[in-house]
Amino acid sequence: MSDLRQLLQRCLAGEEEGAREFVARFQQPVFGLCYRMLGHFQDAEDVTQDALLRALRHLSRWDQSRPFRPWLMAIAANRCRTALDQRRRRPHPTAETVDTAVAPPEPTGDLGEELQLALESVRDELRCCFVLFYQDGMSCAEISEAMNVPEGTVKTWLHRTRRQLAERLRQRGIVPETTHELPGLSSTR
Amino acid sequence: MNCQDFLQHVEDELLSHPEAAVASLRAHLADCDQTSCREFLENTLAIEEAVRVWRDQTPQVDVTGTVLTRWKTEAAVPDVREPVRPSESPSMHRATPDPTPPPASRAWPVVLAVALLMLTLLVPGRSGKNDRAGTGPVAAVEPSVPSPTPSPNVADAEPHTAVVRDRSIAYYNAAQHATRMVTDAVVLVLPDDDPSSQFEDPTHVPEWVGHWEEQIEPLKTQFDSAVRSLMNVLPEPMPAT
Repeated sequence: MSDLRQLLQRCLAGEEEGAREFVARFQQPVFGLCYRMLGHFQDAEDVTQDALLRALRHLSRWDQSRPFRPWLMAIAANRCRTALDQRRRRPHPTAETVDTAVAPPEPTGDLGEELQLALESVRDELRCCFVLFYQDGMSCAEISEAMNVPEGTVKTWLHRTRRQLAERLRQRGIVPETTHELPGLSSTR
Repeated sequence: MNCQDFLQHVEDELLSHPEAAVASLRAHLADCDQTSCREFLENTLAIEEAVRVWRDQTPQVDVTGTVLTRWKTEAAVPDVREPVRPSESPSMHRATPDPTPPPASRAWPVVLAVALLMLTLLVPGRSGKNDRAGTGPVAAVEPSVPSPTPSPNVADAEPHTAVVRDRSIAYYNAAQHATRMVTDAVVLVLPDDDPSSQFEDPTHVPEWVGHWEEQIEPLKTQFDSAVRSLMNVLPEPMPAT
């Protein structure tokens, strides 16, 4: 943690090498959140740049008595929300493109892709919460800090997202119909 | 524990110890043939497996160069989007680093401003209407304070200024009297004890606290006699017929 504080102090002092280290250190978790929230590489890359730049610019506003990571991820989550709002305000597809745009893709058989597809159907805050927990490995307390909601709400959101995802995967035929044969658990979080 | 409670417990445990949660779920299903429990396990296993694959599929990115270039460009150009401090009006906002001294060194202009404002309000005007001002402590500084520069429209501004001044002085005098009354009352009630001794000895009870019942005895007697005389004046209740 003191290592992180030193790095942040260097960034605050305007040291270029410090800023480079900062970006190198945090770009992947920030991009991971943006990519999973937006579902688009280029958009996620743009938002990642914005979020990191914003964090560097306003580093002096970070309350040093609180953990840094939730603060940074809160900035990224806010940028994602703004990007999603902008995307929703764009003109809807024309009648000619509706058929191809709305038609659900065929099941790919790839669990990861299916999960991402299912994830895009849940509400933004649920998705953000799920990504922060399962991809970024943040604790419920940290997510609570980042999303500015009580810890109990975070847990409720996680349970709800899991149920919705399972339902969606079941609809897509990824989860088999209930049988008496129990599948093995290959891995956990 | 019924199945619903058990699944609730497992759901909570999944967030902290997923492996243990799945193990306990499997153990539960050895004795349970409920479809809901079996479905819960299947969903759990599917989600856990999907999350593992999904997590590994996150692409890598490198935005270091772009972010640094933009950061350096912004550092070279003053950021006009810097938030305005609450103490500054928007028109005072500067993009350059703020040379404002810390609050402690800024205290004296504030004190001076307040003092000037008070003096302006309390100094009697040239019309001689403020006789009450001479009774207050302001009278001592009155001759040394220059009168404010008259505005171009003195004829219109003068009556309003005089009214405001009179009201301010009246308020000031009333507040002064009230303060004196409270001070006198406190001095009457509280004997001159050494306050430091109370902190040295936690069991110490001041004299005025220990004998408060004796001190209010006259008041109690007067109150009792007043109530008695009031009861004597009131007519006797008439018996019901």
